[in-house]
Amino acid sequence: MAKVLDVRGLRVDFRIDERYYPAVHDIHFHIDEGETLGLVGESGCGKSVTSLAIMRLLGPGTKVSGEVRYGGKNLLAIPDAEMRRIRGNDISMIFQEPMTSLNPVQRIGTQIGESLFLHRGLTGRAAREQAIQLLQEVGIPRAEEVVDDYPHQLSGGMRQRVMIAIAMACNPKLLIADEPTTALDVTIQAQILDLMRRLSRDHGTSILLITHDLGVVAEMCQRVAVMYAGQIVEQGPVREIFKHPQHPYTIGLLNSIPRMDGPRTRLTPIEGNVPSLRNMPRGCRFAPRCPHAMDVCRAQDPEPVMVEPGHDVRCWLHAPVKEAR
Amino acid sequence: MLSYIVRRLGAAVVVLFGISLVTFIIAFAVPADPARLIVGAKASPAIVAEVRHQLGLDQPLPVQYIHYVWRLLHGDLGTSYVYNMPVASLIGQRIGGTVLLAVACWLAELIIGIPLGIYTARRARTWIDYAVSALALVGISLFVPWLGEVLLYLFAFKLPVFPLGGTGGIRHLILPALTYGITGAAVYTRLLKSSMLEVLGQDYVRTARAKGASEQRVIWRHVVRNALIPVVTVAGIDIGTLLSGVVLIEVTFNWNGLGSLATEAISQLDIPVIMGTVLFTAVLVVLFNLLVDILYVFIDPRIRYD
Repeated sequence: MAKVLDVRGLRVDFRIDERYYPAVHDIHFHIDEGETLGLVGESGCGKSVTSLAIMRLLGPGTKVSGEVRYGGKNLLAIPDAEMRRIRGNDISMIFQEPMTSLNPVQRIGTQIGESLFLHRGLTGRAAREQAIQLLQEVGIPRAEEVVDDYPHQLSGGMRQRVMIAIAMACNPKLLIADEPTTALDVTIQAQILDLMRRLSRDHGTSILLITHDLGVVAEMCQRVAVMYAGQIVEQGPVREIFKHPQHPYTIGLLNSIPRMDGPRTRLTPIEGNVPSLRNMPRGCRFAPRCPHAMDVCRAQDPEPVMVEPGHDVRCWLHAPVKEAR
Repeated sequence: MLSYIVRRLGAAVVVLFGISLVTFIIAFAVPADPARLIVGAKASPAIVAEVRHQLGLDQPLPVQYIHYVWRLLHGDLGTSYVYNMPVASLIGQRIGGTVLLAVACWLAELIIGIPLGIYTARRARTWIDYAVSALALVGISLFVPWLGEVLLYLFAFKLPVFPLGGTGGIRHLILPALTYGITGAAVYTRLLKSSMLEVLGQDYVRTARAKGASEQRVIWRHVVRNALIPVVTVAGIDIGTLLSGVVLIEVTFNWNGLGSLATEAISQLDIPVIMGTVLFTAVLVVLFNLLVDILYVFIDPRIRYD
């Protein structure tokens, strides 16, 4: 299957007190056409930074290197103007906070219309009609009235639908959804996920779904990449990873949430805390919290190893023997 | 909305009563006799007493105040001791000059302050930002009469481009407005800069960028309008205050306006004129505050007054 997006060796450094620290390091993943890839991890592990780096939306004080291949080009190397034609058109994005992601002083129709104007040249009545149609498509009742409303007149769920309408306005190849349901009620979450699944199926849109919720991953994604402290520690098909997790961190994550299937056991938390940017451990970043840590883990950072076709793990336990010594 | 305006106007009446009472008491607390000031130091006590009686100054203070308010309610601001003219027509004579000067000063502040605010916000923490901030600090610290004299010396005396003060048209307005603009713009520059920096960090700005909007478009369509909301508050109060007389500017540039009328009245203890100008000022400030609050509805759709 054709790859829509191919991220190779992505690295993001943050400047703190005149020094640069890697927040995201050696990230490799790809997204196939029509596929939904989940990117999971704890808060602060670099999920959002990864997605903003792909969109080139990180602010000053950050350094991005590596490659983000899209349509035969490296998005990190193209001019700003070309990147703007891709944003909102080929690749669009929705965010965690629907309450604050819309401009409070512009009408909904104007905000959807902006995408249509920027990438399709639509204005006036044509843009308005298209906006109403988009609102209907994302399941907003009374779309003809809502188009003239301001964001504060809508609920959180409705606002996230509007955000999705803006994101889908130009029929993108890839939708990056950064914790799109985290701020919403559980029932609304399910509706928004349903909507995203339907739009992805109907339009063939690939989705990069960033979440800390493994339940959402199980429901939405074909493949999943697990991030820890700025690295992808394991990635592969969702079923495979849920059934046979290989990395101690993934195993820990799955043991820390309740399961409907299997025997009822006590939930086991992962001991310790995520290391801070300035105090990254030498070697494997998970080693200080890992129950299986060996000497090599504390000395040297492991490389990703393929355990099954399409299933990679970054862990010394799975490294070929000669490298692990 | 209408009921809100009525409520606010009702509150304004209470405020104005308070102001009139305080002004009245302060005017009479001054240890000087207006009658004596009018007739001169050499007049006999009998004449002074006669004038005191004519002006009603021999009555108890509460009675005087009640008389004053009673006439006020009938639209009579009283008669100037000095000019022997109704206070209302004195204010009427000066209001035109003051409006012209106030609007010119106000526009100068905004025209200098707002673009600098936008510019420095976009170049925050660069040497240009620091340079403009330093200049703004200098501007805000300058004493208006001093800067006015310097500008008059340079551009009216040495280089006679503009007139040496006096009330008049555009040529007369440029130096006073520039003086006020240079000293007042810094407030707007700083306010708008900090407001823009705050808005630039908002999620909806990131949304606009994620749509593919250019930086220019993001700034003008999304950031500036939201950032201007606090500026409108200050600008509204500012014009209200300016309209009641730009005292220092009027004195420096020999401009006939309400400010110079009020200062003259204070030095001559012309109580009806003092009362009239203070009350007029209060009315303007209250009205412009209300106007700003009404304007909010059009700038920020989240605000409703029902």
